[in-house]
Amino acid sequence: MAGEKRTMTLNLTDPEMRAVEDLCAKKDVSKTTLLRQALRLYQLVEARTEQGEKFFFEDADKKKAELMFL
Amino acid sequence: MKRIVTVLETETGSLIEAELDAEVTVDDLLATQREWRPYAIKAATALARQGSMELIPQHLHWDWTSKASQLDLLANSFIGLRVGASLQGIMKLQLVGDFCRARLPEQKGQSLIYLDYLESAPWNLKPLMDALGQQTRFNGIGSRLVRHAVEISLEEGFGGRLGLHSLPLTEMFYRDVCGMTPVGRDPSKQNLLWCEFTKEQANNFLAGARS
Amino acid sequence: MKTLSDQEWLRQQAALENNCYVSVGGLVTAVEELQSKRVGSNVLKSAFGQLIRLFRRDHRMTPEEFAQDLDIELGELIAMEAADQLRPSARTIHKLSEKMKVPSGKLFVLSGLAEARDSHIQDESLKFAARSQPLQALTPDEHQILNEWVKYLCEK
Repeated sequence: MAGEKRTMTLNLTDPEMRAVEDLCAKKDVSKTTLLRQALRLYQLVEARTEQGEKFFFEDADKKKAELMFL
Repeated sequence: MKRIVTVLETETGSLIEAELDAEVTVDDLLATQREWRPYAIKAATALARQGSMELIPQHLHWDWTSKASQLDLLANSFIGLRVGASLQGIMKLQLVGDFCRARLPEQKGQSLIYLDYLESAPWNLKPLMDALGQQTRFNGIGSRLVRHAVEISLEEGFGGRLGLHSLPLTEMFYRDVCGMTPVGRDPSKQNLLWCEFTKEQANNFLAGARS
Repeated sequence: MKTLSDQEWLRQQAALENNCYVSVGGLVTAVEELQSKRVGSNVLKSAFGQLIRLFRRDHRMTPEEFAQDLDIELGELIAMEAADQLRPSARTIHKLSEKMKVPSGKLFVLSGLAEARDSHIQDESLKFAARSQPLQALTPDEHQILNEWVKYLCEK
């Protein structure tokens, strides 16, 4: 893990902040951890999409629905 | 990030300095192909000649260079364990993605670090070196790497939680030596055994507590 | 709970770990899978070398000039063009990607540093390698083949 860190200020709406707090409680992680996880996931999906892969959700009946990732 | 630790040198029984390095490069991956693979294959051939087919390791034909394009992604962390300039162990951790969710009921759905790949250099594995009639060079490589994975889980805010799919020949190490819970076989991953650390188990592992 | 010192911990773990395998990762299921991967990888490498060579010639550069322009070792460039067993560094792949305007992910696959997720790139690589000719200067046809190949690699 990279040693040095820099601080960023993030402005969120009330619903966004509530979503952050709910996810933190559910995942038992801090806000910083949650947002770093979100960044890692975004970069991972972006990298694999660039390589020609597609990002799908699959329901219980094994039907795939593509998620358009912007 | 580099961190100084110790490993056991088998010949002398001494603890010697080693370095955990989070800046693994493509050249390191190439080095494992060049130096580890032929050695492992030579040992496996010896095991086959001795009729010990069940001891031939299941990671024989791994190719770490195939993971080169994953080095730069934030979702991954590649850690090397070096003694001097020589790589003695390497692991790949996944911080987000498919398998980064706990499965044990008491922590179901919570984030954990997924130990995607871990390998010790073949000259550190006693079953292989016995087949060649040689002594291992270093011991404790696997434990050092797993310990570091738990420390990263703590630093990242996951409480030390760790998950992995064990190979059949390594189930004993993760279950009995590390103290992880074997949760069940995973049909989505070649029916390999999913093993998991709770926060408490991770803490016990770091403390060296044996049950 | 008594906590062992780091030294005590390591000695305890080393004794327990002594006769164990420790690896984590997927099973390699069949030698045939590996063998077909090796044949496939030779085709990809050949196309990779041809791509670099034709691009360089299309820009009227000697190997020395191209290596200097990319800021990479001449030996590495020559090995890549010759589809040698040597695998280029990730840095070189990124330099080539920037210069040739081809996604680095595709170049990682062609160079053998990453695995192809589908067989299409392998099929197209074979066609490209078969059609391109080793002439001193690119003919209009070679120029078109090169442009089509680059266009394919740039497609999502």
